[in-house]
Amino acid sequence: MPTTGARADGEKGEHMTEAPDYSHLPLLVFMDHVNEWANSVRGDNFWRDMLEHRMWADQLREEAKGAIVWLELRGRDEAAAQLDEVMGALREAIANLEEACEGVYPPDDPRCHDAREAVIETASRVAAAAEDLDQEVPEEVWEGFFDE
Amino acid sequence: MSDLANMMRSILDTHAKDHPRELARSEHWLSIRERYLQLSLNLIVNGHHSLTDRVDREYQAMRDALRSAVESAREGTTVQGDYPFWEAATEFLFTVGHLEHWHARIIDESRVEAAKELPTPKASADPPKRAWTRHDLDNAIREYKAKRSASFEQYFSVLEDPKAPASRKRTVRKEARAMFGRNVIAKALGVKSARMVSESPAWVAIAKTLDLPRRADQGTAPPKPKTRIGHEIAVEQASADAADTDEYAAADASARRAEQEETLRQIRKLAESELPEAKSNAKALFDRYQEGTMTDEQVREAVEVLTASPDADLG
Repeated sequence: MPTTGARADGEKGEHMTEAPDYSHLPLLVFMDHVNEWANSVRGDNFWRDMLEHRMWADQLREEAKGAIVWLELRGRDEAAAQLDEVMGALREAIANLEEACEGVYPPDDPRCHDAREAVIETASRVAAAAEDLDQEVPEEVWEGFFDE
Repeated sequence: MSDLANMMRSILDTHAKDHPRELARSEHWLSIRERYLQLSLNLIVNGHHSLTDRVDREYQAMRDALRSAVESAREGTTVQGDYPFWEAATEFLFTVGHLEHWHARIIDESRVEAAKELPTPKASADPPKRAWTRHDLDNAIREYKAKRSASFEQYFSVLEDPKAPASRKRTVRKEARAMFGRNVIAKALGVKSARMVSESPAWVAIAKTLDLPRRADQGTAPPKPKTRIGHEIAVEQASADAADTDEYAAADASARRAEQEETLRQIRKLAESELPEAKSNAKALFDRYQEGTMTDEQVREAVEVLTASPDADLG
């Protein structure tokens, strides 16, 4: 009998398991969003769409702040502080990128490229931190987080 | 308390094109300060220390950044000069937005239980407010001054004495405002509209003699106090500094705001003290003040009683 979460055999008769559903876990949802953004920053269209990526980053900031505020509300100050710290680093990396790319043709400017790499690296740290913190924070802490 | 985030969005949208100086002078900014004080106090009295620290820290960062933007504007600003302010404002917006969304959880997750009983405020010593004719008000103000003629003469002699030290004159001006200021007299006589006091020739004469701030005085703006000044003087100062659009309505709105902020500060002082049951008393006072079941005066009287209690730890 297939276990919970497994579905019907694929073409070759293999058992395939569904991806776990963690839509109720804000930190893992956030981690996915950060990874999505970082992948986009790596892309060739980044230089053309810098403003859109900046606005997208602001959405991530708001999302992170929600998790931070909730953790502090529920007495998880240490977890909140850790996420706050990496988000501060990301804000700084983004500001550095904007400053490095101002007044130059970004695709050709080495300083601009280095700053982009720093943003991508920092975003990876943020995603990793979110994943680690998710392991530390019991699920029940998040009850009510997504309520309207 | 549900509109601080909207106010913040408004300044980010509306004032983005404006000079920071305009924002710093706006009623909007003053309203944000008032709402921030309420939010911060709500967090304190419910025992959410980390969130209080965050809100205070982010608000202060925003204020400091605005001040820097205004100062750098005097030297010819660029958008970059304003960037730290917009960043700080954005962080503050995100925090207060989430807190307002979860407003009910602040109460549900409260670590403080409100006190069931509070000191009973005594009846106000001030007369009830009533309407005055100009003639009666002028006479009442003259009588008010006559009863305090010794102080009046003393203040006048110091202010007119060229040999009196500047520091002494500053002190005397404060004392004069606390006794003869427009709002002080309005409260003492039970005048509904402080504007009538402003327009009374009897008061104008007093104000001119004692160099009290007046709306008609379009000369040098009164110096910004560097230290905390008494509540009544703060109300007077706010009234004198109010925007001109609807001159007296704005002045009274500013006076009202100054009064509310002073009340919130006093509750906060109680909450942060080491007194027994400080937080539960502060929470009860704050809740009743927000509900409108206690006035500014009643709250301040209660704080006074609670902080004067023989059980108080004044250390």
